[in-house]
Amino acid sequence: MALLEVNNLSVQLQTKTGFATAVDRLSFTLDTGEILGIAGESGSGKTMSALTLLGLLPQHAKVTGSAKFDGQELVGMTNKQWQQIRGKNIAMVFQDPMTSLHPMLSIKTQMTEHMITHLGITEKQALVDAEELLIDVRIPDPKKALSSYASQFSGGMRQRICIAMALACKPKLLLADEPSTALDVTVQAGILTLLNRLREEHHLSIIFITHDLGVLSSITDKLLVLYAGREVESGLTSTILQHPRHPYTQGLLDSLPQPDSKEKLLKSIAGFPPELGKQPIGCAFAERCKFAEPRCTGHEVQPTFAADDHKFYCAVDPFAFTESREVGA
Amino acid sequence: MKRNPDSPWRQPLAVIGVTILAIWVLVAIFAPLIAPSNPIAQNYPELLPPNAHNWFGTDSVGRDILSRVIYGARITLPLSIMLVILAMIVGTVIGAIAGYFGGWVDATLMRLTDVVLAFPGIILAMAVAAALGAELRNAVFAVVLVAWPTYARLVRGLILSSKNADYVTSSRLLGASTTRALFVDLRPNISGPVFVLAALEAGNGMLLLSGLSFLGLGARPPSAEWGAMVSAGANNFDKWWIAVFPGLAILTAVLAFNFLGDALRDILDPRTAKALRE
Amino acid sequence: MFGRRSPSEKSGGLRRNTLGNFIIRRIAIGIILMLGITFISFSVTQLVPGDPAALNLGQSAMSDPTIVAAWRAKYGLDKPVPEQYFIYLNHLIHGDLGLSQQSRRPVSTDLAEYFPATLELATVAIFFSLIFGLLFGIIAAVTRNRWPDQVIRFVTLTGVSVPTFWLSLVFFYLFYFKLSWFPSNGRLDPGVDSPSTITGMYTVDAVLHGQFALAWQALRHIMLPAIVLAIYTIAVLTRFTRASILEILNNDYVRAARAKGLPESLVIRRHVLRPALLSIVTIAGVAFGNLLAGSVLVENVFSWPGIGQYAYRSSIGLDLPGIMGVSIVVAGIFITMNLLVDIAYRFIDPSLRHG
Repeated sequence: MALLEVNNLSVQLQTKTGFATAVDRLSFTLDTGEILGIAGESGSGKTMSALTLLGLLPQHAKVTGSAKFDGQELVGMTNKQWQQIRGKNIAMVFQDPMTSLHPMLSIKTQMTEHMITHLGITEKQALVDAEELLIDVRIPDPKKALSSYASQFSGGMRQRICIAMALACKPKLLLADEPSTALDVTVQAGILTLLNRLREEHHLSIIFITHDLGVLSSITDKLLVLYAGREVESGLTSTILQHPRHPYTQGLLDSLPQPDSKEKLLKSIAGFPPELGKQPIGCAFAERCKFAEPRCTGHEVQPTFAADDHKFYCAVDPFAFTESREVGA
Repeated sequence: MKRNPDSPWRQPLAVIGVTILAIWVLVAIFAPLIAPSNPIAQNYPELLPPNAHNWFGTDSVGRDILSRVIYGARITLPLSIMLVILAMIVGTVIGAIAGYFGGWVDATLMRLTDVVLAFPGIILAMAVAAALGAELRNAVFAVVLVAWPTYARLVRGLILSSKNADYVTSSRLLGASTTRALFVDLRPNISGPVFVLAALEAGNGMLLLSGLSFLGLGARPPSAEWGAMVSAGANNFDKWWIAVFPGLAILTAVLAFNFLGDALRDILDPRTAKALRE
Repeated sequence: MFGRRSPSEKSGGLRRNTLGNFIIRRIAIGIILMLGITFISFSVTQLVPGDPAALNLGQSAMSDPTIVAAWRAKYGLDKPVPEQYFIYLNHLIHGDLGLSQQSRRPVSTDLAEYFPATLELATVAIFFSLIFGLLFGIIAAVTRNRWPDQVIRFVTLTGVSVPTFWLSLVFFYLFYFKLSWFPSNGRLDPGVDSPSTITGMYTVDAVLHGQFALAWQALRHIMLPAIVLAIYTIAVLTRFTRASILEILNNDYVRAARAKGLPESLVIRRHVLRPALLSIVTIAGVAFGNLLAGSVLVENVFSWPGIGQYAYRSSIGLDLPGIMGVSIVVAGIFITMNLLVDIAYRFIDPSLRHG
């Protein structure tokens, strides 16, 4: 049994004009120890899907479909039930370490409070464990770090602390929402290496969310590409990177900097994703897609299976016969 | 709450505020037509409680309080608006100069605003009003003297935050003068918050002005100024109607300004709204 | 000035001296402000078109030029204006606020007598303000945009709109004259002797002397004016509390705390209220200064013999040393409060302490 089974999960958010679909019938599975990358531009619903798995959506959001974690249905859980899951079984690392640590509470308090709540251990024991966790994420002088405050650390160090904090209750699933985007490139690499190591040592499953396919290619096993709240392509990371079939995935890959490229300018995808709640019927990417044909919109696009574990939603399939890309990373 | 935050008219508080103010303005304009009696004529028996003829009763010298409250709108309302406009002009000019020129000009002007803000407002106003002589005009001057720093601070902050905005820089690069930068490029960013502050401050100004009159440092008898009328009630505190009605007049007018200002502040973007609170 | 450090900056090192430097700079600013205050106070006295001598000397004395000249010399009024300012400043530094032209006593002596009454009143008022301001503010923030919040918004707007002097009269009429819930004017019942002075605050002095019945009486007398005085501050603190809680609720770190599965009550108490309280304490320091000054109108109605009354009588009698004395003392307290609060804030808030 997979650790996480998501089936037809949809999220609707309340806006000024009514309900808008932020996540549209999303399905995927995640096994223990696996890393799933969710890729997409901002507004593609990737953060919303993560917040849904923690029950942290804004008020008045409607969630339908199913998300089974360890056999337990998450959709429709009460706040009390969520509190048992959050931080204990599913933990999250947020995008900006500068703002996700409390500026006025010591690292000690923030590291131990949920250990005390969830594990029922004494503060003393929690402190011992916290120190070990900080060593685990390579924080120098963990004793001093515990009695310090967020402002005394650099961004990279803060994110390491956030990761240690997330791992404190030995969760089975870690949601990492652009954990390295706000950091310098060199610091970023360190965080990725850390996550990869922790996954192996802790048998952790990770959902790694980012807009940067370059980052995903280096650490994920599986990929899920989202556009305007919908899946456009999914499969093994290596397969998708070698032979992307959806023009949007292709576009994301083209917009990555290539180390040996002669072209100085990065290719970007022209236009903007549709506004929340204004997704068309059919392919939402059609209006930005240079391969678009009239049949792309007006009715649902059916999935095409390139292989058992490679699925994409494009009626035109312009890359069916192109040769494999070289995988840089 | 489902309301379109872009339109002031969708804000119930703004609508209530504007309505009350409109009523008071109409009362002030048509006072001679509405008022049942001459506000300073001692036409009635003294200290009559509210009755069918004198709805708000009469005061200690037999004047009709309703008529005095109605005529009072002609004094307190325009004076409050005038003092707000004066304070706004003085404060905006000082804040704009400080923000635009920076350096020692800024430092000097801002220390000056700090000093005035550190002063207990009402006591400074009392001192000024007393020193100049207990007259309504001097009271207005005293309140302006106390009220301008809030605008100066706001305007300076707004200018500092938008001075280096791209469009201003490019306008300067194109050779636009300082005056142009201040009046054409920066003004639209500043006028909105300043008017909201003016709405919020109008109430405070009115309270301070009527407070001075209450203390005998503003309007003098037999003027039908609302604060002075409340003061007359203090001498006959068991005759509640003397003080209650003019006080309610002040309360409703100040409330109207505050409703309006509060609702307008909600419409502004959060950053300027924050600047207004500080 | 104290902008956030960029993430790449290393920690440590910056800790040294910043707090000390900050305190020194803050005190320097405080001194400059005080100088400004004295300058403005002095300038106000120069506005007087009337002749203070004429106001303070009788008709017959005015007709005698030698008496008038002697009177002017006594108050330094015969010197050139700039010199008068430095004379005044020099006296101030030595704690001499001049002679009250009404009481014929040093203003500092007068103020020492009147100030405790105001301090007592403002202390009780700030106590009320904090309790109700926090309570209503938290309720409003938690029920944001629902009916309790709307009601509180309406009530607080009314609270900042009501003329204090009028409300004093209305409360006096209702709660003393009609309902007799509270005793009449003044600090004690008529004919009752005040406790012998230790602090000058009757409730405190009576307790110190073990006169508990007297303390209770003093407390009953102070209630009504303190409540009226507190109304405006309650409204301001309510709105401020609501705003700061809502601002904190929007922070990423609150979402991060929820993501850790903490009970909501703990999230609110530890992650939201604690930082909110800090900024509320800041504003309460400022509010206390405003209460001291704002007591003028309340003291007038309740015949409360504090510095507000003193300032009122001084300004009516054109006793400029008197009103300048009150201004300077209140402004001095105001500036000191701000200074202390700022320093305390930097001690308590770790992100400022280290940044």
